[in-house]
Amino acid sequence: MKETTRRLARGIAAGAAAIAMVTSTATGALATTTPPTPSPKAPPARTQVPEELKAGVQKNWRPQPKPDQTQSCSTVKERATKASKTAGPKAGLISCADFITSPRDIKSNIAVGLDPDDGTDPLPAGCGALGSKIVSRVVDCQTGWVVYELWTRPKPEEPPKLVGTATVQVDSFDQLGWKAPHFNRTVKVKMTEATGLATTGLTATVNVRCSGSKCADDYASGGSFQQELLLGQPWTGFAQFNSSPIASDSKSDALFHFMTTSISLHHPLTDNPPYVSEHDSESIRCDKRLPTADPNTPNDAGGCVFHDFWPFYTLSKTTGTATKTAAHIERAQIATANHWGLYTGGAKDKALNRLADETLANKNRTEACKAAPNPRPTGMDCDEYPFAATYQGAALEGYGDSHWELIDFRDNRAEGAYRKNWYAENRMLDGDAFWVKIVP
Amino acid sequence: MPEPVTTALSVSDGQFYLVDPSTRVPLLYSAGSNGLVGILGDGAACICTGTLDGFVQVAVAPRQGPPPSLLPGWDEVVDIAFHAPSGRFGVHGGAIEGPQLPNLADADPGPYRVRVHARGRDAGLGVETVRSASDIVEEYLIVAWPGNGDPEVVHQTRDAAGDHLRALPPDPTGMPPLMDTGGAQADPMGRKRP
Repeated sequence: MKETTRRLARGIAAGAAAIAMVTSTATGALATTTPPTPSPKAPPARTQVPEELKAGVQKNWRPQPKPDQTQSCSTVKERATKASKTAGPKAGLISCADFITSPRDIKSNIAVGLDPDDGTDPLPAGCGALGSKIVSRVVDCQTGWVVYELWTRPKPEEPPKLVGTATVQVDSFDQLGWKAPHFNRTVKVKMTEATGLATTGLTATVNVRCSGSKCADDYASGGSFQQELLLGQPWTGFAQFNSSPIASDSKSDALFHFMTTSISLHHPLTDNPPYVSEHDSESIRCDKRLPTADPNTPNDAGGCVFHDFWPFYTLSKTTGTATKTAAHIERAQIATANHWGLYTGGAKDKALNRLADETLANKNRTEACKAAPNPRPTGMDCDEYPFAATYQGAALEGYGDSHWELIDFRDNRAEGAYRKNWYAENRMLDGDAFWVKIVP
Repeated sequence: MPEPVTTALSVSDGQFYLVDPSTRVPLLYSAGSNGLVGILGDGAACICTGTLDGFVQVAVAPRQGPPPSLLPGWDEVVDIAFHAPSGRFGVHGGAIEGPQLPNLADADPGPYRVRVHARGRDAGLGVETVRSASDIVEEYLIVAWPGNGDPEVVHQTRDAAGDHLRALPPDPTGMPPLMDTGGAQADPMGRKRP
């Protein structure tokens, strides 16, 4: 079990704890003798989190629930062996896997009905990668495995024998509503390997719960709540939750949630409790913009994002209506000492942080363009970088390290409006970090 | 015709909008092909100013029917068809603290005719930033009445800002989607799988 603990701890340290992995002593074939110590067979190896993600795009990783050592395979078998020496042996088998639990502030819990997988999950490219993590500010996907074992119950002078193994792959796909405060999780369960008595009868029960303040059940799939797993046949379940942030212009009024999947496996030949593994989503932040004094302001219904994901604000130098501004930003990222907003994966990368205070933004703009010709040449605006609406503006952190150019006013203004909408859709609250990526 | 309601409107990025509050259309930069006002979708239009950031003067006047004649003294005048799904629309400057301007819809949800008048845009382009209402250099008059979806009519074009915008109209549809979903078919409302 120590091995299991270390492996999990390493995963967390690397930010790769995509799912609370369950490891065991499974051999993949029926054993005839007891291997009570951890065996070399481990769950399928997981790809490490890409360096890009570790270094910059996502700064904070939610720690996954700690495994409960008392429920691990080795502990269960040890207890059973001890019991068999002092009391008459029971009939039947025992099962084991690693048990993950973490009592928390659970606000909502949905038992997900499992439906046959129709193969049309809208999983984005990359979600199939082992252990993949956050994909964007509103999409996350994860893959993990549970390795399940069936053992004979120990008797005096007769150690337990491994009589069945199963590997169950669990895929999760999280989607957040960025224009409405709903979020959901699709769980796909598939038995990818089975031997011996575990090839039939193993049933899965899936719950998805939402933790954090003010989240509520909204919808769950209505398939079979206890579904027998068959080799190679996937089942999917779906749960959706609502958040209810109050309308506010204060970041402190945003609500934080996370979803946890609980996979319970049970075999009818066993008489011990089902084994459960759990895994959490990344932290979800939901907010709602304040209706302004202007009755003509478009309404905001609220929305949710993975706030720990630092998105890329991407502009093209050749496509769209802000190509000249994009080219200027690229020059400015090179020219400034801090290369503001440029992501390289290096430790010195400096992301931009959104600044909501319009008075400070005006000061940034004035400072950045103080040397530009006044009045501006016909058809030109002074375009500044870092953006005035960031804490890296020329009057703040970027003082003495900013850049300006005269840009066609159509291009500059198109970019300004586009970015304002980008901030809104990505729900970039004051201080939220982002990168600026210029593409051809 | 009742007296228009006039205010100093704070704009940013050289634009303000006509907005039905129910719209879900992103408020992007467009001057259509007329160089002044571009329809962004149902319940949203963009009006391009000369001033980049700060105040312009805006007067609005809802009417029951079309104005009897064209008003003299304006640089640019364009009539557009504007659809107000909720039956309410008005001027929106984009700032958090906007002024209280009246509803321009004087009838039910549906099509409206909006005449946008502008003057002083070239001066606004020159000064770029107007921090005080007393320094305003450009003005707008927006008149709206129930319409029937007739095509746009350009009455007057005579400022350099308009010439520049008409020469190469900014097209907001050429920009990438605002939310990168990493290739997933994510629903913006966070609802059941599409």
